[in-house]
Amino acid sequence: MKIMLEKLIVILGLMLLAHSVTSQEEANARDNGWGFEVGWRQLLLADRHASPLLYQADALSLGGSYRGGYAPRWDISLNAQIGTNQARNLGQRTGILEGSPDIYGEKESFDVKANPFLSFLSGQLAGGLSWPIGTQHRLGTRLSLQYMQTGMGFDTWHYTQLDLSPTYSYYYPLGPGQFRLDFSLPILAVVQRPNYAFDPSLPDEGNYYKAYLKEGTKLASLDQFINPQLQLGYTWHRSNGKRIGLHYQLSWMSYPDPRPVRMLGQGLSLTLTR
Amino acid sequence: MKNTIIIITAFVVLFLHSACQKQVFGLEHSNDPLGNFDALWEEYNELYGLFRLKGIDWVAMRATYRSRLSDESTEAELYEVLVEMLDELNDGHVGLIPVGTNFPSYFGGVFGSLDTMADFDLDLLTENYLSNPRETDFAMRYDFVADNIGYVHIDNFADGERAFDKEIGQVLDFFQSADALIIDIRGAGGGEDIAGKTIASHFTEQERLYMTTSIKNGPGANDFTTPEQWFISPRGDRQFLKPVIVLTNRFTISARETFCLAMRTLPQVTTVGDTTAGAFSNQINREMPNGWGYSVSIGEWRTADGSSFEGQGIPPQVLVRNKREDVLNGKDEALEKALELLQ
Repeated sequence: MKIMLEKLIVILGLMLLAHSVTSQEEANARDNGWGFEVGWRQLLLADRHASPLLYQADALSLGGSYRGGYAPRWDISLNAQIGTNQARNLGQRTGILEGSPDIYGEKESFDVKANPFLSFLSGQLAGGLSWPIGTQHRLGTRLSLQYMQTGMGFDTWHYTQLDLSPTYSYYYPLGPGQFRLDFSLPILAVVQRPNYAFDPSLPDEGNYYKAYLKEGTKLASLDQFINPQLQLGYTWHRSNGKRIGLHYQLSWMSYPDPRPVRMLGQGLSLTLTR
Repeated sequence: MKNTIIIITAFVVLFLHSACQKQVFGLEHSNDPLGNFDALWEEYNELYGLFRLKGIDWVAMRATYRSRLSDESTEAELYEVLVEMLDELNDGHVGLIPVGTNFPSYFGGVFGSLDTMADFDLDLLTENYLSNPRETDFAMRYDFVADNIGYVHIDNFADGERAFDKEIGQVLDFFQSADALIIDIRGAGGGEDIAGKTIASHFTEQERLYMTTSIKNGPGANDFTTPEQWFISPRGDRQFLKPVIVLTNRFTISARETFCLAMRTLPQVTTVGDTTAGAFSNQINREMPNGWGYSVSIGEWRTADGSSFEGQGIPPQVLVRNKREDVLNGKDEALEKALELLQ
């Protein structure tokens, strides 16, 4: 626990040492209102527990958010993604499965497609509070619930994460808008993954997802669960008060239980804020 | 700030470069014959739940079969070695789907050894024994097969409790006046164990333990969960306690077999037909570095007294093996024996 806190303090300290230019404008005040987002997300996913292959998901992302207040500022966001997911080196795979023979010796054959089109689904609901530090920095906290479902290893793979993170934002006025950097690092998470044998086999539970929640949900902290998330973007402030932004997201996740899963995510999104 | 952006960009490019992927993402096996063999063998070593129950020395099998491969082996040679190795497990839940090749899918156990289900055909039985067959929404075909004897064939066990409560409830309502019932679970395909538990619970007036299940929960040979106990207990407005015969054959597999285990605990039930397939454990799907899919049985399914029929099948109390030519001519000896026993 002590080592974990030391790591956290160092990371936050490094962020606060970033170059800052004093400004007369309170840059981090100009961020409230409704926001809508459309973008693209890519996820490189390697779950040793499910497959020896590296998967790549490419998804359309749609989302909405609302921010209000100043000290503290509160925000809530909802984001959904739908796309494809295939083994990176193999692409779409199709096999032929034969049914059992009938009395005439005939077998019915049917195609088995691994990860059909649009088999990647993901959603995230998040809420946070933040406080200004000077005119260009904010520190806060965020609670986030994330769910992912896709095909992997000729089976359905899913993952749920509820996490609590400290957050840091940096604002830099630039021309007609502002540059912004956001960073978060969960320090506590509840992670749900399929149990070791990928099959809960509970006699009194007919719903597999509920069984997974019972059997495969664990509490994890920073020494096991590493999930830094970074967002960089520029928002152009128009004269009518609306803001158009372009943002790049980068994230990394690593968790070892029951066997290592690692995800590298990146994305690009266009936002409109009123 | 510019330097920060350059550093982040370089980091991302580095991550995405294939040479770094293996290390960054912890990928362990290469896509070559030995890498693919090792990936499958190791996954079985950690996940397959029947080595100790069947007395199989998986480590010795690795030495035997891996020595037949090299990095220059062809896909055909890899396929042949894997099929021969998996065939030693004698497991109807073990399969290999060599996607991207012309090799046939492989399934072990009874599916690998029997070319045809030569002793049963539901359509021929319906045509010759059922005058006015009815069907439930998705799983059951039923009718009186004699004046006072009901017949129901259960075609799949692939849904949940509520669905099967409704289906078997409908059937038992129809057979309220019957003096006996024949439940036919011959045919192929399994489903969910909870479906069988639900159906069987409509035939008992008290709670009965019929099965325990332990699944792998770690890589060690003895890493299993504490056994879960499976009970049947009275379900439905009324339970059918009159004589029941359950018909089985060599293709009665998986969830059909666990249903059979449940029914065997009941005093009013007799099993007739042929030995079942002997594949009880649940299975999961996996894949190899070359993209081939395969399935793995993940636990020990045992009877209430701790014994197991895995790999052998449940022998019927009354053995009757239909002949193919009889079935094709409309005669189902197992069904007729069941009628004889009930009349």
